[in-house]
Amino acid sequence: MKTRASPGFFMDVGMSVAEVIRHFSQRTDLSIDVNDVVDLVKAKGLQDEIEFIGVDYDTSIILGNFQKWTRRPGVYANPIYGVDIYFHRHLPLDWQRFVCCKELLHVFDPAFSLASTVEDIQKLTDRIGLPPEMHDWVKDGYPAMSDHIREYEALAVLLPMAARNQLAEPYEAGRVSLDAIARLADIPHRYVALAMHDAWPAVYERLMAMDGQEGA
Amino acid sequence: MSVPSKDSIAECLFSRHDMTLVDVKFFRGTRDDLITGEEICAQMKSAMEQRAMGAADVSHRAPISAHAPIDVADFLANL
Repeated sequence: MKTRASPGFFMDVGMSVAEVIRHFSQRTDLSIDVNDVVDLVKAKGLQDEIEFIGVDYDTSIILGNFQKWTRRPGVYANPIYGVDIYFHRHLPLDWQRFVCCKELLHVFDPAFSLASTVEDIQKLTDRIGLPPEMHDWVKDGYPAMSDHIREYEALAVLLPMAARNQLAEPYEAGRVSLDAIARLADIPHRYVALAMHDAWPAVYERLMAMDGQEGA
Repeated sequence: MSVPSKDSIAECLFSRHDMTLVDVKFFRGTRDDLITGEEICAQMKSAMEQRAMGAADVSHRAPISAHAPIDVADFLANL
């Protein structure tokens, strides 16, 4: 049985997810390129080599998968870190972008939410496989909770609050549809519906309030 | 609840002797009913095999949008 890898590997990201959200929050030019997020994270000191891997999945089971690895090329050599982001290559582009952004944000996973042992992964797959209505924030545990939270955070990055707010009044007046906003932001309709809901600003504030608990 | 066996996870994620796993996460699929851990692990294993066989699309860059960026103000002005 492998032992748990050191969570210290994650200290090399010199920012939090909330800072990423804040960085993009004033953007009004859509869509946001996921590669801008990659470049930002790397500019802040992430040393990992990130690869995006388009594969064929059964999308009824999973849409994406984040894996972080380390290896030491020699006894005295510094460890090399790698991040593999798998996604279903035949998803519509809006879904591909969203899945990749959500998975990318897992580079910020704090030590307490890592899944790196067989037991961790058994528990994680056990919880995320539950029907959505059976998700339980208490029983799910931090790794599964992280899988859910990163979806909201990816939404906050890909539909920045400044852009969302400019769209809110025309949307409420019926002058612009969710479909049109989804095409503009190039993210899935179901997430746009959440972002344009009256409750989203409060959810957004909660995400921002998690600042410091994500990247540490 | 059906959880993946330790053997299936180990075969999938812990057989790369030069690499140490640090973290794994998933984006759940579209099915509304129960998805078993075995099913999830089978998909993960399949994806890793596709990559190992050179059948995956590997890039250092994320998928990009097919349309050029549009400022929201310009978008609204053209409604």
